[in-house]
Amino acid sequence: MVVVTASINPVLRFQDFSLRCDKSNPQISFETPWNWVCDSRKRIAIITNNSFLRYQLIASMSGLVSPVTGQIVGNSVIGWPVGGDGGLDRKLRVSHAFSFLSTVYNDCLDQSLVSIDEFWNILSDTGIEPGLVIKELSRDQKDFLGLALSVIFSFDCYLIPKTRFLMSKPAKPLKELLLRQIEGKMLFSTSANVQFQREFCTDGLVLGPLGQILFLGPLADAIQWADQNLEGSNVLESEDDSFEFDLNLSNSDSTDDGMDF
Amino acid sequence: MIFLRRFWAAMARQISTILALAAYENDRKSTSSSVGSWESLINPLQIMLFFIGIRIGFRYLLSGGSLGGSATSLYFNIVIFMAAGFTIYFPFRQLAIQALSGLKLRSPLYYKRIEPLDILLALSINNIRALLTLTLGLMALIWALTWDFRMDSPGLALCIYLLTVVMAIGFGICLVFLGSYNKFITRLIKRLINRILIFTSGLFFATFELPLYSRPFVTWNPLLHAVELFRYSLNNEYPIPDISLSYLIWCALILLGFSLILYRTNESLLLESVDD
Repeated sequence: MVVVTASINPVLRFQDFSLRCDKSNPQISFETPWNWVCDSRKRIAIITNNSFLRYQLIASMSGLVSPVTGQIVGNSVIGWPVGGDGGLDRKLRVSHAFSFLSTVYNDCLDQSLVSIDEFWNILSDTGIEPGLVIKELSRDQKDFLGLALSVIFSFDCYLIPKTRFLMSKPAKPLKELLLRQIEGKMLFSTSANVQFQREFCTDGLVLGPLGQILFLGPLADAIQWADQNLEGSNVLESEDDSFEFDLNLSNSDSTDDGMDF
Repeated sequence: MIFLRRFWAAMARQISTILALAAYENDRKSTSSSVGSWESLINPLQIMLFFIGIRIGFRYLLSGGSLGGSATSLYFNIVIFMAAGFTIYFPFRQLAIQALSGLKLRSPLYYKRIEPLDILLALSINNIRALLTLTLGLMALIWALTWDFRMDSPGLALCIYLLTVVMAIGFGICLVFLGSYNKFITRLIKRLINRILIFTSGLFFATFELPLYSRPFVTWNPLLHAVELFRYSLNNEYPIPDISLSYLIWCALILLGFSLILYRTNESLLLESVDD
C-alpha cells in the first residue's frame, strides 16, 4: 500500500544498510553497514571507483534491487532514476504513459512547479505528440520523453545515475526545469560528470570499493579529496552505461492462455 | 480519526494505482491489436461461443434434432444455463491459467510504488470486467429474445459472484509462484487444471442430473457450488442437492488467506533481482 506521499520536510535514514559490491561475487557486501540520516536539501554526488556499487546504490534506492541487509526508512517519496523509461511499455502512447504516471504519482504532480501545459508544450516542440506510440519515437525523442516525465513530478528525492542526455544541448529546456524542481529537495547522483555535479549537487560522498564512507562534505572539498586520495576517481561517464536498470522487466505478450483447452 | 482519514486516503491511492495499472494493460494491448480495445473481449467471447456451441450441438444430437428434452431445460433456457456457468467458471479459469504463466506484466515494477500484488489485482480486474460484460450482454440478449426475465435472488447472485472473484484471486496468487518453475511442469499443471475445472465445475451439467454415487467425485470442487448456487439465484426452483453456500464461503476465505500469507512470505520471488 502506498503510505508515503510527498512530504514537507523529507528525510532518509539508512538503517544497517548494506549492498553488494562485486558483480561476480554476491557474498561481497559493505564492510560496515551504513547508519546515517540524509536531511532534506542535501544534493549528494556519490564519488566512487566501483561502478557496480554506483549501480547498486541507485537500483536499491529506487526499489529495483533489495539491499543485502537493512533498509531505507523515512517520509520521502523517492523517484525513479531520472530519465529512465524502463517502466513504460513500448506499445503505450505518450498520453497513456503520462496518464498512468500521473495517477500513480498524483501527489507528486500536485506539488510540481512545472505545469502540465508547460510539459506538453515542451514535448510538442520536439515533435512528441500525445497520440504517438513510444516505439515510433526516435532515440532522441525517447530520451527526451523519459527525462520530461521524470522532470514534471516533484519528488522528495531524485536519483540521477546518467547525465549524458541531461547535459546535452537538446535537453537544455528540461535541465532548467529540473534545476527548478530540485530546489530544496534531496538528490543522489552517481554520475562522474563534474560539470553536472557542480550545477546540481551541494555535497559529495566519497565511497571506498566496499562501501566505506571515506568523506562526506561540501562538494568542492569532496571532489578535491577524491582527486587526492581516490585512484582514478575521474572515471568516464560511459562506465555508467554498463549496468541497465530495467533488465528483467519486459512484458510477456504470449497468448497461449486463450484457446488452450 | 486521523488514522481513519489516513487509512482511507491510502486505500483510495491504492485503488487508483490498481485501476491505472488495469488501464495500462488495456492501453498497451489496444495499440498492438487491429481491433483496439475490443481485444480483451474478443478472445473470451470466442471461447464462450465455442463451449456454448459444443453444449447445444450435443444436446441437439442426443435429443434427435431438438434443443429441449433435458432435465435442465425444465428450469432454464440452454444458453442462460451455460451463460450462468460461464459467469462463474470463466473468471476463475482465466485468473488461474494466466497466473500459471507468472507475472506477465512486469515493466510497471520499475516504479517503486507498484507491487506485484497490484499487477495481479489489475489483471484480475481487466479479466473480470471483460467477462462480466460478455456474460451480462449474452444473458440480456437471451432475455430480450425469449422475453423471459428471471432473477429470484439478486443478492445471492452478487454474493456468489464476489465469493468466486475472491476465490479466483486467491487461487491465482497461489499459482503465480509456480510460473517461475520449469515450463514443461507449468504447462502440464495448466492442462491438468484446465481439464479438471471444465469437467467438475458444472459448466455442462447440473448436479441433480448426476447419479447419487457419482456426486462426491465433483462436489469437492467449490467452483461447482458457486456455479450451481448462481443458477439457483436465477431460479429458486432449480434443485441443488449436496450444494452448500457455507462450503463455498469457507473455501474462498481459506484460499484467500492462504494466498496472502504465501504472497507475503514469497514476494521476493516475483521481484527477481535485476542485477544478476
